[in-house]
Amino acid sequence: MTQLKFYPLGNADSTFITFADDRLMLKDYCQCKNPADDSDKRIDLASALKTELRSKGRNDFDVVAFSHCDNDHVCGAEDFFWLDHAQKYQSKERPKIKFLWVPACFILEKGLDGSARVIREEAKHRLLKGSGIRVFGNPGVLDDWLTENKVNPTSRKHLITHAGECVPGFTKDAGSAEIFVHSPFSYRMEGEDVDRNGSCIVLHITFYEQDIPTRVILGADAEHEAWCNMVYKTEQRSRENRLNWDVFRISHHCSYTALSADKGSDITLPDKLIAKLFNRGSQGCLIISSSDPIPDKDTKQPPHKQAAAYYKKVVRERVGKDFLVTMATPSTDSPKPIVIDITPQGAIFRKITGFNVGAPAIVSAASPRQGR
Amino acid sequence: MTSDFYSWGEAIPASRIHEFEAHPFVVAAKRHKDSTVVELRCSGSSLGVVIDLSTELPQRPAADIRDPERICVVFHEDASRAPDVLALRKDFPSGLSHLNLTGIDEPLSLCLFEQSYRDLRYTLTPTQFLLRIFSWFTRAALEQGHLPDQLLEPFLFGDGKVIYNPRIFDTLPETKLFGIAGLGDAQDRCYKLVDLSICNQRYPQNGYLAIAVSGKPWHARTINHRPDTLAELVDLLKSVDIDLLDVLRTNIRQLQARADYNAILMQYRWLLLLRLPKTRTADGPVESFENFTFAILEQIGPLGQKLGVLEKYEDRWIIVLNPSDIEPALHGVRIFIFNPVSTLTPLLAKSLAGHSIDTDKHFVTIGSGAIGSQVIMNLARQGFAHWRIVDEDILLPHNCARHALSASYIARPKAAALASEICILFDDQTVAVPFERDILTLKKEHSDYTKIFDHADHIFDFSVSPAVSHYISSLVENVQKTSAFMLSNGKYLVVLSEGSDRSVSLADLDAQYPLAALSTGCLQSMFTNSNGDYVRYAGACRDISVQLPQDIVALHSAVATSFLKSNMDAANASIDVWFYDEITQQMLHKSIVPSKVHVIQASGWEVHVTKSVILRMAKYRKKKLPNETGGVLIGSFDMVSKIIHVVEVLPSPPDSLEWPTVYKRGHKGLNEQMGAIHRQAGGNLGYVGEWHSHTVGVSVDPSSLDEQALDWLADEMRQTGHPGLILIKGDAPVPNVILKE
Repeated sequence: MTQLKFYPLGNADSTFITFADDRLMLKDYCQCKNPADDSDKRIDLASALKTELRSKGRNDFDVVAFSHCDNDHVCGAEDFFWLDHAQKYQSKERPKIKFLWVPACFILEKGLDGSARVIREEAKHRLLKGSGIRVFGNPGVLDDWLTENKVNPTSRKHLITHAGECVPGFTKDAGSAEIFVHSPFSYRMEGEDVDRNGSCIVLHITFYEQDIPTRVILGADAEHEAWCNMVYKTEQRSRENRLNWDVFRISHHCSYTALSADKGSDITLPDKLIAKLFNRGSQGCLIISSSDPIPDKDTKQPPHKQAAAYYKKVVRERVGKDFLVTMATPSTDSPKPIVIDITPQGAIFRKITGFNVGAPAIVSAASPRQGR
Repeated sequence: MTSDFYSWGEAIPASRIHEFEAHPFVVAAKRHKDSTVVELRCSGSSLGVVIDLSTELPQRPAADIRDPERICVVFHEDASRAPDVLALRKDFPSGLSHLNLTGIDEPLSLCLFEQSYRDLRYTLTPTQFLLRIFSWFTRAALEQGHLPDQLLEPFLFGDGKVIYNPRIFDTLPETKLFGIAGLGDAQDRCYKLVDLSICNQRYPQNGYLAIAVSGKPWHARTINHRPDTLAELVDLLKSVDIDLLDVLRTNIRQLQARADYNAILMQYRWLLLLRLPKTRTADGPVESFENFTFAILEQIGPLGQKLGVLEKYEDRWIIVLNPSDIEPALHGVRIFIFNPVSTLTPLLAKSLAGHSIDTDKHFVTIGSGAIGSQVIMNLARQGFAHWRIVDEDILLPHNCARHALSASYIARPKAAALASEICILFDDQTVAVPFERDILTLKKEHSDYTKIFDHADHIFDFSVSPAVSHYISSLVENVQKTSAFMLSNGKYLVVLSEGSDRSVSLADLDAQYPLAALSTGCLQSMFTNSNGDYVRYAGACRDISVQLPQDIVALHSAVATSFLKSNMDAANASIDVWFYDEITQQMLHKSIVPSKVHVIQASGWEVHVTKSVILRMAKYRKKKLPNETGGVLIGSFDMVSKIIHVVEVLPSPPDSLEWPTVYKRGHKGLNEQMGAIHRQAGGNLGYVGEWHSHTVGVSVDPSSLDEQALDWLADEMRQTGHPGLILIKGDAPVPNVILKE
């Protein structure tokens, strides 16, 4: 069964997708939990993913996509994955990545450090080698970089997917899913100072169950200008069906900046084009915010209560049941991964846990500190 | 103002909860974030807990399940009785699966448990019970009322049971006489529908005439209340496009042709057999058929009067040609619903066994002893239903210690008794045919040959007789054969399979399997008893003196059955031996790869030399070149078919003379070696001849020395009645054979 899992990581992202043909995709990775702090309710992502893989008899992902190189999307990746470019990242327990997906600007960005630098090196290694990678967008500077590295850019075109295209290898018949790329646009990645959020990977995935489509938008950290651009371009090319959605993983951790430049006092009113996008949500739609719990007060940092008010309104108007926040589901005291199954009847948020007495969920996580 | 919800019992204050055993459930329901306890109600000694459940729904639910759904969980004083879970919404969808039947104007009741609640309650926590209810709604919303591995549920539930053969539907709509005795007040009993035209029984007093009708495919449940009267049944069947009044009138008119017409109308009633094709989803394929049985509790004559098709004139019933259109008064005609229970059909047996092997295969079995009878019945019970059973024996009292047949068959031929058991099992006289004869006397020109082997897919030889293995090898050439037998010590099971390519015949496999005893490990004791003494071959379970408990025979039979099933379509020949370890009670398995056989004709005999023997001779020859070498041949004689099986070859004894043009076999240690082989192989392997090599570039035609040697050998062998055999291995891949009787 096709399933999506959104992990509680605070204001950070990681989405694990199991496709109908059992292919596994991880979109973003952030191992941010502080194991020494019992009050840190964020999930130990590395352990959770290893448990997932073990349960599926696997130790690899078919796809690992990094939407952009901000730390809340790549943190700790170098300690978790098997990376081809250096032996020190190669030990038996590390899950391998069959295909690494990155925006072109990830490869080109200079001055990176930490996890982002390591993933950039891995992406460079794979692109130069010519396998195990998909690059989103193809700015001229990428061609320049390839030429500098003695690789004919034409020989790497098959590894590049542009905004407005579907990712090869995923179709209604292969994986029962089409993955349409809304962002990044190549022209936004030219030049030295690339706007990371504006050039992140935004995907529109149409899952098919018994031929019935369920559409999911994975928003990464795109800001309102980028969204307007995506909606405008998509409408301009008469691809409105790629704007319809049933599940929306909203962008930038419920920041008002994903909707508008103006936060608003009680509710953020989105830019016109963005409002059109949210009006395309289906009846019974689901909105998911990968963020800390929504605060009652006005705050500087996301999540913003004004943006949340807008999303709740969207859900309410579409008889949607849920505006789900990763760090508040099912409760702020004990957040758990949000599990969405894709069925012929649409997406279903699995809020009722099973009643497996033999192996309760508690055994798949560390216990709190015990004893004296 | 009318409420949107059904009401159950009387409201009681929450403080009274502690009077009831169900209070932990109330606590769990209050604690769960997606349930809200609305109120408590009471009816007699039962407690009703009214809850609003925030259900887990997909975006486009397949059924009108809402969030929240209001339910009432009714706990009974008898805690072992499953609580009723009532959907209180008046417009709750009635067409869902997994609903219990309730009365008209009553809330629908969810069917939550497949297992017996009596057992389940010992492990089910109140929270788990609540989660079951949540899960019911989610499955209904996802159209997963039936899990993929779950059989579709019955359409209606009655009290009594009627066992019927579904093949009835193959012959109906012609009406048939069936006997069901003693309905009366004992309607909760189990009855078997007996086709009186087949079994020739006397018509019982309370006979029934059965009518079979089929409805349209059924997906969602269309009926939620059980009918008590014929009027209600007529209405009910309209929902599946059946005009029951028309069906009854037509069938009553057709009875007029019967000689016993008047008696039947007064003594018999109608039994309606209804078949509904079922689908899992609205447009899904038909997955199964559901059958129902309604007994109309009024004699056909008076019922016909009510239906307007009969009139009584003195003691006779007359058909009314133009019945009036007046709606018949059927509310007073009671009906009774029986749970129809199918006889065990091959398909049902296969489904219950849970395998996907083709059960349409036609099997011939030879030998119905301890192993044979149990394997046959094991396979039959798993849906294999085309049997021709050959056995000449009758069942004797001592057989019953280790036989599938019960003592009621004593003195009856085993073949007939087993065939009868299979026919009874499937309520079908055609599924097994017995042949009471000795297979060794059967010739191709006999009429039985065709009857037994025509269209056979597989021959199972359970005869424990090498003679049979060898005989059927040549008697039936185009059918795959498998032989399964226990060795006399009761510890070993041997299965010889030709494989579908039949490249190694059963006779050759039978000649090769004793080689296993020459290997190391547990197979060394194949032919010895617990004292290490040689146990003669055969006799086995037919021997009254053999001490062997039924549990071990059953174990061997189970293993043989399982192996035959899994190996039925194997392409290659195989030899498999299982050893029963008394200490660990385990069956240890050894597989021996059989060698293909090269058949060489010589002086009216067939010499079957295994390829491994030929390879071994080539190896020994190469080692000694340019000298000649040789040794003795190990194998067995089939004196009936005039076949010599050569399965092993011994190298040259150390005291042999090996020159480029001469070989003289020595004998140092050979006698001891041969004795050990003969003993270890249970007498099944022994000396069958000599072999020697010719050096490079030399013909394998016998030299004058070879011919003299053959004369000598023939003389020697004549003492035991066997021919003299010499194989000459040269450059050619296949050795030359010279043989003299």
